Amino acid sequence: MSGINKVTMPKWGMEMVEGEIAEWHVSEGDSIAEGDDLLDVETSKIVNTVTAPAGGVVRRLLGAVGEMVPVGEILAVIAPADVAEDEIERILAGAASRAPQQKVADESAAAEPQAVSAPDSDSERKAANPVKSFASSQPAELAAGADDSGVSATPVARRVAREQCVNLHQVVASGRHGRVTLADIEAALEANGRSLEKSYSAARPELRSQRDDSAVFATPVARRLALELGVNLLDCRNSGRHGRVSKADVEAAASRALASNPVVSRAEAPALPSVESQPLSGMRRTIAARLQASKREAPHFRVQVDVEVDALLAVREQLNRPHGEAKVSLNDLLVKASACALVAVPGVNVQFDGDTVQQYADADIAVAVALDEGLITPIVRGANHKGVLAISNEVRDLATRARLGTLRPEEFQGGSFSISNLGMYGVDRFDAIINSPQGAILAVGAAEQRPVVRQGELAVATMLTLTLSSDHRIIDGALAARFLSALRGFLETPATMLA
Amino acid sequence: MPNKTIREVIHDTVRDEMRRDPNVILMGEDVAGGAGCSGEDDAFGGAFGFYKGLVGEFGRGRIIDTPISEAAYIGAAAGAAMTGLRPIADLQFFDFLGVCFDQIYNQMAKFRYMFGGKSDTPLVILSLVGAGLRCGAQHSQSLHPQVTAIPGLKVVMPENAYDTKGLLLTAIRDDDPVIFLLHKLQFENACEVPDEEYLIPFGEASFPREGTDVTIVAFSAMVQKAVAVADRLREEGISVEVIDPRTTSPLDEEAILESVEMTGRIVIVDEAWERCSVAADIASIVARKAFAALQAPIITVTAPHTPAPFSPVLEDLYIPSEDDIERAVREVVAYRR
Repeated sequence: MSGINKVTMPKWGMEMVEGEIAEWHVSEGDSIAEGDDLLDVETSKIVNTVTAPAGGVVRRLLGAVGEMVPVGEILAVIAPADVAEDEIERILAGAASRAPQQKVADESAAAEPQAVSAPDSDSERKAANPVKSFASSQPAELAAGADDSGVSATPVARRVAREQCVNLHQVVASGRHGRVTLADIEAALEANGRSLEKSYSAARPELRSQRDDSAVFATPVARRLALELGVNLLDCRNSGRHGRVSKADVEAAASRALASNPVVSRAEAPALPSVESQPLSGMRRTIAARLQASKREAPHFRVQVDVEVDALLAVREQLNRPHGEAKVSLNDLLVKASACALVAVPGVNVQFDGDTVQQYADADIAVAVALDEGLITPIVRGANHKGVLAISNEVRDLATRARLGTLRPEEFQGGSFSISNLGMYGVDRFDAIINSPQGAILAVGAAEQRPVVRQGELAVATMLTLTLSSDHRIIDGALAARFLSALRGFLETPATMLA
Repeated sequence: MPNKTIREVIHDTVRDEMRRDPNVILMGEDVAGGAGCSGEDDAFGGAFGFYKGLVGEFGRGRIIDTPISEAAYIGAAAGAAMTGLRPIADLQFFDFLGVCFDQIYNQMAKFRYMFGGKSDTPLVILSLVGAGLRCGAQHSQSLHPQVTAIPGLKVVMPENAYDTKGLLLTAIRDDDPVIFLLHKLQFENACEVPDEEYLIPFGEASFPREGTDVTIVAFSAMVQKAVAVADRLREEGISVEVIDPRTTSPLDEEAILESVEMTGRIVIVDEAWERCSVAADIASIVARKAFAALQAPIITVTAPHTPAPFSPVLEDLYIPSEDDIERAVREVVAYRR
């Protein structure tokens, strides 16, 4: 292989993934010296000249003017005149999936790439150029390719590639002397929608030295203390005079051991708790960050009311009777009632980013939907203009698609108000964290029969507890109370929602 | 494949290169004749017998005995290199660096840059470093950090006979000054070495052991000790990766950083003193470029900041030992924030 030089599409800058062949300055068969101009390459930003990395004869030019070539793909092969044709073919076959595919186009489409012999003439090869395709630009095939043991790679990169089932032929090399590096593997995985977890092995206290420490220099007090505390002197610093382990060193080692494993006793080996550590998923990370920020930034206060919903349940019954399949839920009615209340008390229908208040005209109500890996809040837009049936259908559609993960961003971003309902789990009341930058969130408990007092008489009614968490920076107690009062009015007298 | 010692590899490689390229010459004290031997040919073959027999084949025109003046013959070698020869200059003990340091750091290292890139200086200075031969403070130092610090010099520290051959061939054929440093305790170490020629590029580390819990970077004679520690700890379930950068300049930062990114822990072992050393340099590189990956403080294992003792007992304490390395590895593995 000595003396054969492959010229590949260079990477001029972070974003460059491919370049267009603007002009060839040489032809196949030309003799050239190191540093001679080979071709001009045009990227989305610049036109620049690729020069010869070594002298020799131009044996192959791969790619026609105007062709887009991915970074790292072979553009030309330079070799001494005495290098055999089949040796060059072998390098092309081994270097990338591009050359063999080109040969397939030459011959029958069914032929195995490796089994195909070299093209007979230059003209045939050139004719084949325009139809070739680039396997390595299709990210789904990281594992595909010939034996990659000959590809130059750092030991870590090779190991990780093996673990991740990456064929090194599919990776663009950027390291010293053209080696494939760990960063190259990560880039290839990323281009393929995967990522590399760097899982550092946890520090392992069970590996702390159990060896004989009788030869360690220590003060008599330190040695006695170490025996009492079950500390091995080999685990202690020796900061005492003349490098002896001092009493302080033993105490420090004991407190280190205690901090890392508080229940360790000398007699029994530490039983490791069966805990599996997992990195946060992207969704969890977002939830964590946003709720943390909300709880930190927005001063929450809660206002609670009990609502009698017998009338509302009767309305629901009436609505559901003729519509066999379209089941309106209590939650759908709550969305409608909240929309009416937001219109009636617009001070709650706001977003606040810390600087400016966005006053919403319509009620865009986010409904919390629990997922396996977290939760998402799809939004019923303009709920004040929609009927209960429309709202019901929309909520069902959004929730279904939320669980399938097919919501579009605009379907769960924004909104001025959220409803979180845990009633179906039998929770009778709770309070929720505001979905910032929204101004408030309504937490809905279960509808259940409770004793109530009417005109001095004990009675039974179906009751529901609503808790409104509000951002006190923009919503005051009286405003929140007015809103809840309006909401209770709509829920207890459903006909008023029609007004 | 024949088993060869580092001494044999140096002999054979210098011989083969002198046969291949008539521009290759060898100069140094006692490389042709021998002190106290009335000038007779081939009494010594150099202070360590690397070149025994070569004067018979190549004659005194190409195997050149020099006066005991390192400043003179290292300077002469630099001039010869600039004017077209490819000298190999034998500097015996690298402790003599001080005598010829001007020729090295202020002359040969600068030629290419000060003459507008028009001047090559294809020169190899072959020398020995390290303690353990009971040679005393003036013949036991590891001064590779001093030359690693100078741009324009390449510094090679092979650990075994196989690497010695591939790196020495690269060094002789390189067009820049190369400082080629062997450890005094190692040149009788043997391993399988192919007869055919192979070049090992500068700046590419080898990984004598691969592991996942902690990375040891070790140089020269320390590699063997690091490997022994890795094998010992493997039985306890601690998986140690051992990296031998093989050249301190250029340094394979990439390989070291990658490994630390996977293990999160690093111990750097070098026989040179720690202040302003290659070990401190690598610790700095890792702290600056792989900080986020670190799960434990970086530990360096080096000789203490003192001249090498002449007492054998003390000298053995002075040289970083397997136990020192093992203790450091255990410390980083057991470390909890």
